[in-house]
Amino acid sequence: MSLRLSGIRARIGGVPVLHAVDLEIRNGKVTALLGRNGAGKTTTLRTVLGLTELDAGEITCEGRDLSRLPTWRRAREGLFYVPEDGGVFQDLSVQENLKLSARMPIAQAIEPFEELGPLLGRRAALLSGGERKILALARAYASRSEWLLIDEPSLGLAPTVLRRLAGAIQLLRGRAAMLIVEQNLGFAQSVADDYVLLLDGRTVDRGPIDTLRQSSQFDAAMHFGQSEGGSSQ
Amino acid sequence: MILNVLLSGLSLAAFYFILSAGLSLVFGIMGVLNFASAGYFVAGLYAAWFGLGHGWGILPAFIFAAVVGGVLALLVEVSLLRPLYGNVGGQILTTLGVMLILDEAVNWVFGPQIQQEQMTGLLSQTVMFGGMPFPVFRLLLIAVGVLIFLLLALALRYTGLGLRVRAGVDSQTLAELAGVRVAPLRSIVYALGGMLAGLAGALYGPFSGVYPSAGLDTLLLTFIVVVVGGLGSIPGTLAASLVIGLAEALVGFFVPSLALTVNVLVMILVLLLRPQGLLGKPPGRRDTHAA
Repeated sequence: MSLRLSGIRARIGGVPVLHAVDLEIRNGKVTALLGRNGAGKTTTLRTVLGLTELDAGEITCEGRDLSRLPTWRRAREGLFYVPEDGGVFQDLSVQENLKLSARMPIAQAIEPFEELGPLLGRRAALLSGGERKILALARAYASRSEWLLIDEPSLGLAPTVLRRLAGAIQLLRGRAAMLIVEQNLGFAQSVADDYVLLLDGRTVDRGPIDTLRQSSQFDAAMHFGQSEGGSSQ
Repeated sequence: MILNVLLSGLSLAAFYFILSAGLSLVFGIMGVLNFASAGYFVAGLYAAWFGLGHGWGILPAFIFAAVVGGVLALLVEVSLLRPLYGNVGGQILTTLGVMLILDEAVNWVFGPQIQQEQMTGLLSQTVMFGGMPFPVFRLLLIAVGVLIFLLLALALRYTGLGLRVRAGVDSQTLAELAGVRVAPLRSIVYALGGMLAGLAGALYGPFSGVYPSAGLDTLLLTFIVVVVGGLGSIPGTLAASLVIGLAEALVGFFVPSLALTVNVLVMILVLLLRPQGLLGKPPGRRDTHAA
């Protein structure tokens, strides 16, 4: 099972942002999409989901072309997006947030996320940043989606919450293919199997995450990310 | 005496709620101030008058008014508004145009004169409260307002459709990312808004008679209630209806000269203290995931 992006081009407000993005994610694997600010990482995720219009290229799931489907159809085809703020419905309760995406009973959905148990009736707007991200991953788990696209999961979280988040991502690894945009290299290396490096809207390198630092493109692609992301190593 | 004033305030509040709830929901799911609701209001007003004039009972006549408003709204949504999603200016101009066309259509068919017969007679039946007569129709209005609030609140809270609508009001983009198809929700909510506007038109007739510009006369008030309550919030619309209805009745009793301006004063006060309205979302919380 794989999700493949071939020759993706996209623009925002008429300005070309993605020029040639190629990548593939596979079931059971976590792929970190890395690059400095403005490289096109979030735009890549949004293009896969149909939130940013595709200029050229192809997005395929197991040979099925998703490129021209509306966002809601892509979601029903098994794509699940966790934006950097968690993307939970703030006016809905935790239980309602889960219910909206769940393809399993809520009790079963929160088994691996026991911290959500006492919070089921609480409005999502009242959750902490960490709780929102756990809820977002619980929604992804409950949805049984096969392709998870997660934007900056570590952003703004304390180290203890990060460890919990990493545990949740490990849990999801067994059920789905994951593409994670991450500025925090340490976190990316702790959860990912593979990396894809983006530079100015192009895929410039890819490989197993252990070999990231040996990449000839590493310095060029990560330069600003390292200086701006305090936790990057 | 004060009991009568309070009951009058509650019946006004019930009318304002029925008048504004659909508009508020439509704004929440479509992001558009729907001027056409004034057109559905007039269509409902004339539909009820037509029904009563043909010997129908009050219940069938008023249901007919709601159905006429809902069907017109559905036709407008499917044929005119659907291609304009994302084009807020186009939607506003279109809904404004629909309102003017519907107003002119009833003017052309029924004439500009105020029709008093059939409708105003509904106020003649009274019951005594605190030694004062009180129209039964106003009590009916309160009951209908409470019933509609309960139906809307329960449907939004406990049904799958209601959950999807609330998710769409919260963030359309996130709803689509969760696999919710927002387009049919827009049609349903817009038709519901038309039904409520049509019913509000029917309920307005006994107080003011039947005339083509009735929708325009109530449009400003509708927007005031929606803005005071918070755009897209049904509990907010109820709260605003109660505040404005009771304030109007009480001020009208003690300082009659201020009765017509009190709703504007309430709106200014609320916007100064709480710009998002009584129960609306803070401006920064609007759909940040949209394309």
